[in-house]
Amino acid sequence: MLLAPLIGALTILVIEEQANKKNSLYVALWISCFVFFCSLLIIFGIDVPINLHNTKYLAGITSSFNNYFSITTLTAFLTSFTASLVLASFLVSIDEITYNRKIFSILVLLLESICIAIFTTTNIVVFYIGFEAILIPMFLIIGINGRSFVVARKFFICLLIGSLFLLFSVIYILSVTSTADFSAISNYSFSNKQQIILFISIFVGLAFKTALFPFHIWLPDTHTLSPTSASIILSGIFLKVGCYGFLVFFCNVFCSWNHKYGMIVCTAAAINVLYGCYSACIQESLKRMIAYMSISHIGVILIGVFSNNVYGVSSAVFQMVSHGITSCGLFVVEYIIKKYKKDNVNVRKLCILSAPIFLSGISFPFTSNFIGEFGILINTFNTYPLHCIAIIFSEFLCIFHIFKKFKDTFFYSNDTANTKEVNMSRIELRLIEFISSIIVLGSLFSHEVILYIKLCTKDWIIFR
Amino acid sequence: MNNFIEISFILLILSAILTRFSLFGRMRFFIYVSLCFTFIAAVVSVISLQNLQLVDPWLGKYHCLMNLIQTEMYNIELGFKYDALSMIGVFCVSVLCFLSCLYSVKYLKSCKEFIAYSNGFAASMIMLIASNNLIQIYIGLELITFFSYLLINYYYKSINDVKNIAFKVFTIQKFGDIFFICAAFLVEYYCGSFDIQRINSFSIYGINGHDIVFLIILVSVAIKSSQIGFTWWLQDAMVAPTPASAFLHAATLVSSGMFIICRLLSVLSISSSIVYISTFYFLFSSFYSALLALKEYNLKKILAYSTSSKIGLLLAICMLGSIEHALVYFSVHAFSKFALFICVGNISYALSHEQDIRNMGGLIVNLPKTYILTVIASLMFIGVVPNIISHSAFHESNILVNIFVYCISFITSIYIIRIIANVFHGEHRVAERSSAYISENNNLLTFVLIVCIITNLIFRVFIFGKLNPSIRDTTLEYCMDIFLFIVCILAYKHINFKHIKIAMPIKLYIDFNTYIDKLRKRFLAAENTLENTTYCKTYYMLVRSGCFLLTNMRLESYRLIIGCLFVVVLLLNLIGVL
Repeated sequence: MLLAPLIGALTILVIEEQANKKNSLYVALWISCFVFFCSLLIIFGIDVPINLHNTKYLAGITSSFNNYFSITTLTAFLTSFTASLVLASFLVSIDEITYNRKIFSILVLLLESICIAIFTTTNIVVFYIGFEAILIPMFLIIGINGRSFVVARKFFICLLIGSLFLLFSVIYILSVTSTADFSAISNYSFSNKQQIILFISIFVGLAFKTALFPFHIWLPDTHTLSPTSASIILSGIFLKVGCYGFLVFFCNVFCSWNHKYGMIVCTAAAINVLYGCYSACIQESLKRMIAYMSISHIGVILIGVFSNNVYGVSSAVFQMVSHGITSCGLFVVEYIIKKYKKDNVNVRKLCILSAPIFLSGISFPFTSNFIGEFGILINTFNTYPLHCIAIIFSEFLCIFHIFKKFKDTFFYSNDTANTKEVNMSRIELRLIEFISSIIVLGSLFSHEVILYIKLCTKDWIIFR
Repeated sequence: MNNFIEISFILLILSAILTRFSLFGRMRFFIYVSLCFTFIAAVVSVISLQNLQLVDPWLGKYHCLMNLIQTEMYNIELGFKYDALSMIGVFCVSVLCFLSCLYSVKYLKSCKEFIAYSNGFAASMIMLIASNNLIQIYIGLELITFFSYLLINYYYKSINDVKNIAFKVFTIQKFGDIFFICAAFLVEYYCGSFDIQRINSFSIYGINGHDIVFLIILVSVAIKSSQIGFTWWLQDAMVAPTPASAFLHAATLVSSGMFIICRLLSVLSISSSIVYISTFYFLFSSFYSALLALKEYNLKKILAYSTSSKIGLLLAICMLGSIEHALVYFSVHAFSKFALFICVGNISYALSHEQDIRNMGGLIVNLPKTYILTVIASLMFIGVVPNIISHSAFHESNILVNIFVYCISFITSIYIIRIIANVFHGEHRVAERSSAYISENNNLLTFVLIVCIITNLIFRVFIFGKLNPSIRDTTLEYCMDIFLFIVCILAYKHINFKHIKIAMPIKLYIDFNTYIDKLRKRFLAAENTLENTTYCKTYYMLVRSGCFLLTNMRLESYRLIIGCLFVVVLLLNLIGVL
């Protein structure tokens, strides 16, 4: 599972690149398809009662550390999510990426395997290495079309600073506890001073990754200038890795801190929510708006992570995935609009197909964002009422950016009466249909999904 | 027939989805199939009304459809509650949905989107009406907000300003939803549950915050039903196509506030200060928008003001605590206002979408059928039963409330008569160019109107008696109604205008006779309020003199003579006004 994308990357390396042909991309597409189906098999085939105790260990790759990778329900879920987004980004990039196809596909597959490693590891050092290693392919993917080198450099530098904080905290943990395994660390009791130092460094480090308010500067520029497939990976996977970091550190490893420092993180997150919404309202370009919207949604997810109960955390995971899919869908729609120019595309069809995606942006009922957001709100309201009211208010503000954009894009009076309508290509049509149906179905079967996630989070969290 | 709400809910959704598929070819076929589905849903809901007396009126059973959100303490479910409130609500919504879809087939050029949206709207309205927890109510509110946005936005291609108006309306309604969800979370914070039954049985009355919570709920209700301060959105929403205005903005959407209040009534009515504040607020806004209706010239906007006025009255009845009366009032208002809107639709269809009453007049020659049906619809609107029943709800409350209610019902009859007089009588003011084309070859539209009226009458006679014994006492008025209806039908058959002109004063006579007789003492207090308006003056003087005569004659035999005189005077008055 972990190795499949790596092997794929190697095979592409071997294939000779022919000018103006898309061989390497198609190979990568099939590999990512294979990975996706593997992850689906794991989801449905996972032996749930046995797995409750994390007994299924796989031998790790190679290193002096004793690396272990475990598959729980949560990691299986996140893995298949990652695989599906990589698949989507390949589908989009077939027409978009015009040169360096080979390098692009190698990098994306590399990134996928690193992500899977992060999601499945139980070792803090492997976790950190994954966090660092993911930057390099991401940097190259963003800068691949040459236009956005400056932005990519900014991105890299910002995140490197964040990584320094993480590096410090990881070394500190290793030196204090002299173990690298999550469960061993969680059993160790830190002194008060050590706790504060660790909390600050981990929080700042992860805040860079998840683009929390003062540290968000890299996100909007990166989104605006990078190609669509890079944006999908960035907002869909990269931000989620940061969120997963919060989840691992504050719900699994240091789960007693969840309540202790919850107030601080939630306040930061609530500021994030409002700031993201306000800034999104004044944006002109759709991509920049989606970037600010992601900032605000990340805030919601963080409040869910610190909700201090099992269902809140499970809905936060659900919201992570649903936000990833929604923003992916939004990027695809943006790409289609830009590609075909507004007047030529069959607007009615696109409007109906992409309506669930836009509505998911304003967390409309019967879209997956609604379930995630309201699961978080309902489970958190008793602990942090004011923060939740901030979220509700941000939902109101949502209609001034994403819904307004929806209105302006699709409901316009066509005085020119352009009769020549170009139909979208088959792949794009199916992709949008697929994303919309996932969003709707995800809300209808949310009960089962959340119960599935709960199997893992229940084990992690022993609150208060 | 046990799960009829679920059945009609699913059928409505199916038909919405089917019409959506009609985008991809074979349009007509899908439209007819989805119309069939809507029809079946309406029939199911009609048949299910048989169960009304079997189920205990306010404690029906509950069916869970799916699980939405879990917490550690409880689950939030999507389910349907089967009590009298939801039964009558579902009946009105599904029947009116079918009628408006049928109407749109002829009225609109491309009805597929309309059918999809209005079916979706009906399904979400059913979800709101039959809900058992606050989150589901919120979901229903969100969905109806969105569908009403789509329906207001219907003409976005041809009319420039529609986009912005629709967005404005969407914003204000969403604002109301946000208020509601805040209140819902605060209720949960105090009571520990979203479940309505639990909330109603919970005692939170000692807690300081709870007055504020319910004021927030009332604000959201006021926004949703366009009370004073928020009346503008209903006026703006009139850019929607007429069947949409008839279905949404007259009958169902605005009364969603009523359902919220009815569900939470036992909690809301605990603090008497809230009951007083909100009752007077609703009554005052009802009075205010009734006055505004006298000044307006656009046909649809007059009806929109009258809607906010009537809904204000409805909400006041709710706050005074009689759900039965409120339900009766709701359904009668829904059907009759729907019928009036359909009449307006017919008129503007014949005049190629003219809506200003200053450009009409003398249309009785061109549109005889529409004239008769409009008269019947407006009789229903200012008719006997709703007034009597609602007034019996106000009987126990204090005199100020009663004064308001009488003023409002007088103004109502005045602006309705103003519409009829300006549109159908008087000189012919339609522009010469188009007047040659005015004709009435819209059988389907007339058919819809007749079905609507008949359903309303049947509904009144057979159902309301089951709800409450005090309502059953007014059977005599039902008989009067039916008698009048037969008279009108006869008049319709031999199109003879003299009969029709008589029919209307008869109805007015019955109307005023009954309730003036009951309430004459309090009536006298209302004398000096409204004498300045021009139409008001003559009409009001006549009514007052008639009332004076009637109330002073105690013997039954004299009353008949006086009544006949009254009819003649009214008739003369009518001709004079014209």
